[in-house]
Amino acid sequence: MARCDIDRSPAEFYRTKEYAVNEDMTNETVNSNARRRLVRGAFAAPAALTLYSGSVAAASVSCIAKQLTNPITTNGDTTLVRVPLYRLANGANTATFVRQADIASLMPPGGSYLATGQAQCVGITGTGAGFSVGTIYTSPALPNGTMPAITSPIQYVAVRVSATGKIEGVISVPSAGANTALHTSCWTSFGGLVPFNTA
Amino acid sequence: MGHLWAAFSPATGETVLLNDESASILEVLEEKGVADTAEISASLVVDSGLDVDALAAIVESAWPRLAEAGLVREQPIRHAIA
Repeated sequence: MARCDIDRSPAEFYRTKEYAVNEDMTNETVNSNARRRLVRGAFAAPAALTLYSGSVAAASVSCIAKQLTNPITTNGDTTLVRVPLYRLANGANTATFVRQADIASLMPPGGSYLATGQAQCVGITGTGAGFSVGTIYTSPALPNGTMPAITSPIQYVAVRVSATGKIEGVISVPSAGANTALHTSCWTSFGGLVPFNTA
Repeated sequence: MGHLWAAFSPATGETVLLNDESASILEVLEEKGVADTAEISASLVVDSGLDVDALAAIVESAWPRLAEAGLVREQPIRHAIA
């Protein structure tokens, strides 16, 4: 009895995907030895956090320009870092979170406003599935144990980094003079979630 | 850049901060030119001190974000006859 095999190269069995360094990326960013700095036995989740220039945003966003007549101070804040949002849903009631794990790699010795394992609720719909905006939770979950899942399509929020590199909170600003960077209307125009002030 | 790495991608026009783990993946990828998760993980076993399976899970989860940041791009699968 003849035996037949599918004609498939061995490579197809394990090469499900391959990647290459984007040819547009400059070599200078990676030609030092990052591997030497790895801590043995503690390979953390790889992080790639996008930086945004506040000056570029101010120059290109009209609502920012309008604020020049009524500027809001940020107490030396200079950088916004984009991080992904995670969502818990209980029917139509949802809550979205920023996780400490996504900003941990940016924490200098001064620390962050979130401790290990914590997540901060940054937006809700309906009753918020029991969560409230601005509150920091340790391992938030629904009563049935469901943990927050990354938003799909993925959504982001900006965290505010102080001049010393310390992450102070999620950017948003309901009122002037409250250590915030944007008016609520501007935050909304960016597609941001319900504004709140963590300062 | 302190304990982080900075990378600018003309593909996205954005600058991203990388931790050592992301930078080490790019470092291996640059050396190899093209590689898959298994190859990257095998290259990082000695430096990380983790077993290759644990590394593979971590590396695999990193691809979407690195690709989105314009730092890597997915390649067509190579076909090789053993």
